Parts: sequence; C-alpha cells; structure tokens
Amino acid sequence: MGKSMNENESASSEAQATLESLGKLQRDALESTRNPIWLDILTTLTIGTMNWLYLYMHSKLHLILLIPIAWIAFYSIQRCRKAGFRVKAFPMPARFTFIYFFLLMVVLFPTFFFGIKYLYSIGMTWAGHALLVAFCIFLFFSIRYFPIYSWIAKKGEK
Amino acid sequence: MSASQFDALIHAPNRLQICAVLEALVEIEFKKLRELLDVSDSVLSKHIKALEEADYVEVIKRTAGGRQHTWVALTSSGRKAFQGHVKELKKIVG
Repeated sequence: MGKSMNENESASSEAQATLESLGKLQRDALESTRNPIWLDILTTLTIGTMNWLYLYMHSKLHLILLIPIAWIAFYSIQRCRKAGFRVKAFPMPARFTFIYFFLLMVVLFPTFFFGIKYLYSIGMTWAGHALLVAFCIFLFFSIRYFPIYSWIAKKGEK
Repeated sequence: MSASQFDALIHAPNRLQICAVLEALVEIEFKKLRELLDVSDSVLSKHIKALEEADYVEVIKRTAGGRQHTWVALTSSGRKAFQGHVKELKKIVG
C-alpha cells in the first residue's frame, strides 16, 4: 500500500518534471523566433502614427503607412525562414485564439479607436493624445508578449 | 480535440522533445532543431527516422542558395499523438 503510494507520487513528480521541461523547450523555441525589439517598436509606432494621422489630422496619407507594415510582415517571415523556422501566425490553441481575437478586435481595439476619435471630436485633444499613447503601449505588449507566452507558460503547470 | 493516450513511441525523451518543438512551430530546419535539443546529428536523425516511419513527422528537402536544407514538420497524426500524450501526463500529475 505504502509502496504503491510512493510509486504514484514518483510517477506524478516525473510527469510534472517532463511537462515542465517540455514547456521550457517550447518557450525557448518560440523565444528564438521572436522579432527583435526594435521591429516591435517600429510596428507599434507605425500603427500609432496611422491612427494619429487619420483621427487627429484627418489625413488620407495614413494608408501609405500600410507599405512599412507590409514590409515588417515580409521581413519577419524572411528572418524566421533564414534562421531555420517557420512559425505559426497564432501559436495559441484555437479556443484561446478565438477569445484573444474577440477581445482584441471586438472589444479593446474599437474601444481605443472610438475613444480617441470621440476625445478629439469634443476638443479634448490632450486626452486623445494620452489615450493614443496608452493604445500604443497596449499594442506593443500584445504584439510582443501575449500571443507567444501566455499559454505556453501554463502548459507544464497543474 | 485529441484524446488522452500514452504513446510508447514518443515517450522517449528526445522524441518527446522533438514533438514539443514541432508542435510550437510549423517547421524547423534540422540544424536548428539539433541546436535546440543539443544532440548529435546521428541521434537526431535516428529519432526523426523513427517518427517519420510512424507518420508522426514529415521530412522536407528544400534547396536554397545552391545547398540542400532539411526541414522537419509534425504531421496531424503526430500532433494528435503528442497532445494525447501530454494530456495523459497531465492526468498522472493529477
């Protein structure tokens, strides 16, 4: 009886150690596919500038910034291939991808977009600028950290 | 959704690690996989061959810059087997 309990505990701790090492390996693999920080900053600034041009300056020039965004996407893919990887666009399991994109696209991004637009339209320019900066910070963190690490980090935990 | 099932073929630590890396990515070059796992060419080749025979991984040869590069990807049956195995490990952890 005691021996069987010890065996169970040993199997459990062995399985736990295996899961943790697999989680770490997946994090290491994904870490090496990560874009350099300057590229994530450039992406954030380009999208932030697009929003500023459109919402504050009412300029049609914002569409020109789709060119650097396309370049960044192309560069990221090529960089990974040269490094010996082909990565998933969304490394999360399907249900997390759905929740993540639902939250981002349907709730958070539109809230920021219409919030900034509203603040500019009622003349609260500085509040609009502040919300735009908050949007850029949020965007940076969601590009850099969330898609890759949030689920992997929990994989070996139980 | 894969069922929780222990898979003897991928239970070997190196094979489990190969599947884990391939599950996180779409494809990886043989050289890069070797670096990540810190194993020799021959050990990695042996394990990949075993996984390929079980139809768990796919080996793709590509030519770039006049040189042939070997890429490895997980097949859908390999992904199911790995996910089932991980579920089984989680069940053991409780």
